[in-house]
Amino acid sequence: MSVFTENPVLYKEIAMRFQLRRQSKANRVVIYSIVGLIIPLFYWFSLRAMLHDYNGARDAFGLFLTALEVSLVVLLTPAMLASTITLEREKQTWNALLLSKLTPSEIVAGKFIGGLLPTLVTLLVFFPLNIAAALLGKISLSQFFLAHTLLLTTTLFYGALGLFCSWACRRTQVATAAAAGLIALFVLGSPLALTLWQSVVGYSNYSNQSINFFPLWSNPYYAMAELTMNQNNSQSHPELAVLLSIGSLIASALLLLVVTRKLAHGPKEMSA
Amino acid sequence: MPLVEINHLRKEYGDLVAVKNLSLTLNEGEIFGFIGPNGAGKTTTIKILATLLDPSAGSAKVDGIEVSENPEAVRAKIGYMPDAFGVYDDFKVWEYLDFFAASYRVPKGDRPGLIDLVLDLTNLSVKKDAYVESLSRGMKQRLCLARTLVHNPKVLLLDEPASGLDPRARIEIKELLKELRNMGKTIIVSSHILPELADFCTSVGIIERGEMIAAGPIDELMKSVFGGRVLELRVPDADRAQAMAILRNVEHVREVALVSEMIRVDYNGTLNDQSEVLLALIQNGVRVQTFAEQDTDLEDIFLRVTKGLVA
Repeated sequence: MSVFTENPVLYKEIAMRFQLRRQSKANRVVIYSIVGLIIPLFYWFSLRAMLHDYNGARDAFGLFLTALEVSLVVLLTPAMLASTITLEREKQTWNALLLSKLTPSEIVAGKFIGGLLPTLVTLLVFFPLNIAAALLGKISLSQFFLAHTLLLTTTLFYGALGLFCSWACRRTQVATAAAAGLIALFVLGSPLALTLWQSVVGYSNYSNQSINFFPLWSNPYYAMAELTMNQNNSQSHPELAVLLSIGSLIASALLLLVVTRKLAHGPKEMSA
Repeated sequence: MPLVEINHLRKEYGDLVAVKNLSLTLNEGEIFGFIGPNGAGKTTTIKILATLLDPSAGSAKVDGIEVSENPEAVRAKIGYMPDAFGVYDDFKVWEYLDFFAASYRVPKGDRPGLIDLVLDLTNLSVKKDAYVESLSRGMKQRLCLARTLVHNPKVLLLDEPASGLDPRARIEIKELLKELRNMGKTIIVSSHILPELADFCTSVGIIERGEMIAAGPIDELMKSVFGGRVLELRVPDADRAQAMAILRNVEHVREVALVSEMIRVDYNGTLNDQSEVLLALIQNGVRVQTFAEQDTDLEDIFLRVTKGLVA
């Protein structure tokens, strides 16, 4: 059975995350109306900002769009994945899955892809805007490609981290808190550590050399800023995005491998 | 070859010994009732057979396969229904079964027929398109049982299948288990509701503090525990001591006890010899007020052999 095409776990995850059929008709109308209104409105404001570049509105919007997309990845992905195994444990359905003929890879792949889909779909909604921003702005094709690679690999890494926490913790709340804590360490911890370091060595000596502060390299906001800003001078550092993308890819592969191997050989039961 | 074979099984959780030296053999088509107080080790034993726990020592085999050595092969042969089971509330009944049929690699084309079959067996056909969430607890219990049947397992491990159900739902589950027995399934079922087990089990095992303290067909168990039959008689208070002394000297009487003003006699003689008991009392001047053979059931055996201890 293919891990992707005939995986009942993946089908179940998609069905449960995207189905609205159990909502009442009134609720469905409200949900569709909100989605149907918000997306065109957001597109209208975005295009307006990009096409009428008064007082640096285009640059400001570019910054906003980048920060919004990275924030979506940082906030949405671990939240979706951190509950995926713990909820099964809490609902007492996990053992039934383990006892079936599904392989650990099928279970992990189904949970992982199913959990990533909401983030990926949301990013897809922004993709046409990214293209428009790239065409109207000063972003090169390689920067555009690298920025999306960084977004995608960060999504994979934070998703894998969420799934790992979901496997390692018994309760959804604990798993979500653990995933959020680890991600906060990368996102907030590194600039805080930089500030602390600057307070030790002196701000004026270090303010222009933050690139040398290695913990910052794990921060997707910083890597994205170094990639998409300062395009006109030599201070741009696209290599950070490359390094972070490769690191995220390796880390997510390792985390998924650990969960898969533990499911196959680890403690057989962890009751809720 | 026995279908289920447990030899000197032991399971430890740190200092706590949940199961010790437990042995059991079940042949095809047998229904084994697992009886014991809470914490006795029933669920642990069932979970070891279900490959969810590794034994600390001893062996447990299903259809000749050691559960800890080849759990994947064992899982294909067992259907496990836990005491606390879960369902996917967002699924329709047929979707839920389809999901598990797919998880057990049942070919897509075979699934609709199979789902209809297990729904019919569990009497849930009318709920095929209902959401799982809308089912009553009894129906969910039957759905869970239907789920364990989708891959046609040889052995069913049912942990407290009737717990928390109202009397009607219990009867439905009992009827369903009888139907499965008729289909030739080998079933290990644990329950606190002892009369239910007595109704359809071919043998029972009583477990306490992780040890199997009595096991076998109910009739044989009754004979070994009570020595055949139990007689109850009432005499005036003044004659009671004399009556008990006389009874202890009557042939085939194994034990004499006073239970709620009634004298209880464990008797292993034949029905023809039974009149000797009454005759001995009357000939010695004891005024017998009532004399009757007491119906004994699984509950009596359970109460007699257990001490209410937990591991």
